[in-house]
Amino acid sequence: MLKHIFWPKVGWFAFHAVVIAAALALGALVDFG
Amino acid sequence: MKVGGRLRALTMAGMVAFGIGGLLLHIKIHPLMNDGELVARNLVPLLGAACTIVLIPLLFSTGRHSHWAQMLNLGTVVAGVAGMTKLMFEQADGEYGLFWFFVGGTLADSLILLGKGLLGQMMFEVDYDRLAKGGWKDRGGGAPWWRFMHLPFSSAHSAMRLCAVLSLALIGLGGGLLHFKIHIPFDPDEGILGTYLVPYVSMPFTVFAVPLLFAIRKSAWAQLINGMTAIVGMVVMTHFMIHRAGGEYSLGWLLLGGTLADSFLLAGKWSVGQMMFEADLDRLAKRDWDAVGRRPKWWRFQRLGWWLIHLALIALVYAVGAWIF
Repeated sequence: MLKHIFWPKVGWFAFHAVVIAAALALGALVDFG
Repeated sequence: MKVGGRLRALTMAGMVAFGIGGLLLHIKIHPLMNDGELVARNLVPLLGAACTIVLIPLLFSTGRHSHWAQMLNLGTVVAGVAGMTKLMFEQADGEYGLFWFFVGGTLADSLILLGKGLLGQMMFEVDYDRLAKGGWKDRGGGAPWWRFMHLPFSSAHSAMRLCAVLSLALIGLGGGLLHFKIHIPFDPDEGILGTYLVPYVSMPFTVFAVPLLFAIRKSAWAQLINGMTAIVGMVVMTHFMIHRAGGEYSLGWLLLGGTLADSFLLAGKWSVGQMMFEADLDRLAKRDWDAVGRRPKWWRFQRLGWWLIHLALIALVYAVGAWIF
């Protein structure tokens, strides 16, 4: 089932867009004071 | 079970990573020289690290000396846990408590060291059958002295699984406790500090979810979470290290002034999980890959190159977020 969601169709791009957004957000939000 | 060179390479890489991480941590905490005088007992961890970086990987590399490698590995673990626990009691100065036990002492370091011991045990179990069949079993002699190290499981695979689950749980717990020592995610004036929450959010995943997923044979998912927490840890800790440097970079800062040692320990943790994942991949390969007409599963790609690309890209995207936004 997972391969239909993840590889390499819309789901794959959507999933990676979420991951990239999360990494960007983490970098932007981290503040060591 | 297939005796894969990949498992051997991962064991050796993991040993080197744990060895370098441990060496840097020890030098950071207690230097060899104190007021111009050599502190003899501080040589012990250096000796252990030298064994872990050079001798143990070399002995594991042949596949015929894994019992010696694991014996030496166990020696470094026993010596390390004993020495660090002794130090912990000395430093307590008679005042024992829960905080001292969990955070103030060296429990975290001992747990990570035990995790390293179990990594060697995984490779020893892989090699055990072959050592036994080519050796004392075929010659009809008595069991060799090193048989006591062998875990009584029906297959190397099951023994490896127990070792991986225990190792990752111990390393996760040890790494978590280390963070308690350095920063808690709360400040009396500023309330909850979101930045310092990151390791505490990942802790339940590394202590409970990853070992549990490995235990129920969901190795691909387990290693995905394990590796990603390692990557996030490396990236954010390196950011922390650069922030702390305040623009003054030097070799001393790189090796001892920052979090390089902890990143090496995370690399070791990654290799424990990767080893279990690749061992399961061998088993699953027979069932899935070789079946004609099947498309490869998504986790087929979760190998060394995949991890390196993801480490680089996640670091890049994180850096863009940190420095541009």
